[in-house]
Amino acid sequence: MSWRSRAHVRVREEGSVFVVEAVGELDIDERDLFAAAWDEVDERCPSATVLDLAGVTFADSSFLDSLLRGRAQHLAAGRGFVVAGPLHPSVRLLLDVTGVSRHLTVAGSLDEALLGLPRDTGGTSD
Amino acid sequence: MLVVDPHGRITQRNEPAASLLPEAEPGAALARVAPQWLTTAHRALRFPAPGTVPGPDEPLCGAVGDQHVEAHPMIREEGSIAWWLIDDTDHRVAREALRLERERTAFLTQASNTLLSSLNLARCMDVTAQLAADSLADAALAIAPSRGRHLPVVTCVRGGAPVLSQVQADPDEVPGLGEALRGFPPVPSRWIDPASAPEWIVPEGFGPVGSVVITPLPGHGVPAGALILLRRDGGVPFDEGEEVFARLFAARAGAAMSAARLYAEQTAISETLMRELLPPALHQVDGVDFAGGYRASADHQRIGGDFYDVHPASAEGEASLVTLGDVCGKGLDAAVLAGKIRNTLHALLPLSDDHQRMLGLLNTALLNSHHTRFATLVLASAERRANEVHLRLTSAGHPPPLIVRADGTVEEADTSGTLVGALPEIQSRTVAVTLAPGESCVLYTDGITEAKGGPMGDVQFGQERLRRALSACAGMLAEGIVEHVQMLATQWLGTRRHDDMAVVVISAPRTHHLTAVDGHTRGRFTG
Repeated sequence: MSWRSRAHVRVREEGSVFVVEAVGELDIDERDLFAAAWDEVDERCPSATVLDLAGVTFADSSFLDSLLRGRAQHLAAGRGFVVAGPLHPSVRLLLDVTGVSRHLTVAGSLDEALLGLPRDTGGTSD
Repeated sequence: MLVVDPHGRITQRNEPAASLLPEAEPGAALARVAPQWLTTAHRALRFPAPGTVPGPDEPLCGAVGDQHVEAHPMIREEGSIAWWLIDDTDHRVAREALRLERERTAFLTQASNTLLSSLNLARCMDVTAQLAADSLADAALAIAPSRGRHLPVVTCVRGGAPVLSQVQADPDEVPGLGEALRGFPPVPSRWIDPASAPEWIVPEGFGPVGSVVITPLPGHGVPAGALILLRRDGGVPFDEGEEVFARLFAARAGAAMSAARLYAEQTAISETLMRELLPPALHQVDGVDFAGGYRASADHQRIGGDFYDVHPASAEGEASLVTLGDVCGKGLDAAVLAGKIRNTLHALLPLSDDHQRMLGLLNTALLNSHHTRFATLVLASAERRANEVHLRLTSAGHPPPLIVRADGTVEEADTSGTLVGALPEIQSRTVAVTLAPGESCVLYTDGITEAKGGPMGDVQFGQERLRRALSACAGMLAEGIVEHVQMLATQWLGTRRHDDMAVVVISAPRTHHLTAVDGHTRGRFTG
């Protein structure tokens, strides 16, 4: 039917940081997945969230909507919100054209994003 | 068991046979004590008619008193016949019930298919009344919830055609009807006195009503109407099983009517919005050519919030304002928000000199509303000065307009900005562009560039392809460019589904051709 690569959104915890990893082509079909991820954030109360978009090859305006909702929700709760790249050119274009990139903290990679965040609150150290 | 000798006399019987046929004592003639069907069968077995092959085809059966009995013969060596009589009354009742159940299931399946094949509410009501009249009652009425003072009623008498009428009546006059239309469970038919039925529910020439069933037609959340079944006086009244069955049928009919109603409402709303959305056919305004094309998604779920408008200058020497945008999301919500944005922009027209201010106010208006969606748009102010058209272009998070120069060069307007409706602070940069005669500025929504298709079926039309296509449009009329872009995108899509696609072209007209020399033109343009 479709040649479209499968998209997925996964969540995990890295210390006190919540990582939402998205992969593939993101459009309206993934909308609910992000909504669920943001709900999860509210439940787990991490200090910050990294949205890892390195594996995203295409994103449309409904993804942008999910992103903006997540950002607003984190801002309102006083949590950090970082987007991790490297970003695919089409994703970069979407964020630039819409002027959203100016309102985001974008890190070059997941590691970079995690390094820049105060991860640890519970005594585990690495 | 009953043993009968070759002379037709009973020689043995067991206890069950004795209780079944008390007179069949040993020594009695079978013909005198057994029912006719058994005697006949016995004789046929003893003296087969020429050409018949005695054999176990259909099991013999018949009534003995008020019991139903199956008889299985066994020919014994000495020429006597042992008849095994099996009381199958219960079995038969069960079989009859099963047959009825199968018939009803088949009817329900057929009803569902017939009902769901139509998304037309009137047709659904017709089918409901007709199916019910032909299979469940002598006459049936399908009643939709009232609109104002009238009840839409479809009446059908068995074997007749459904007739629609608008009845001015209070449903609460009919016991159970008001409740059914409000979605309460049906009252048992025995509670309804047929004599109390008002005149309008009885079809003309129907005669006295014997029994009435009123059952709700349950819809999705809201009742879709009610179904009234009538049987004539003197006929069999509805039993409990039939009432339950009527409810099952009503559930299916109600679901179909409800779907049809929703569809009709949605279509009406979408059409209204689309009509509202479609701008007037664009043409030359104050010496600037405008052309617009809009292809709404054929897919209901994908109708989105693409919009565009041209607001002619209110006074000489002022600029006309073109707005083109795209609300995030699909469906009616998006279309409604698009309407809101268009209204807001219209209200802000006096400020159209200052795109930043206009966008800032629009952004605030959207943030303060309960909508949680955002939109991207382009503002283009266009003003004719001599042969040229001067543009001021501002993108608010929207793909920048493309400029088609006379030599086929395609430039991207150097404007950018933040989308509106999502972030409290927005920025944007306006760019001034001048169009020489024959040059055009193309505004489009991402329905064009994100149209998926092509030879591989899943490749986006993309900005590059659009630029190449536009490069071939140098010097074309605004309308021609719109048609060309739409045609290419449509070809690219093939038969695949697509989102809304909108294109607006602003051109500096080539009004002063050499052929137009008449001594009065302001200047000449030789292209």
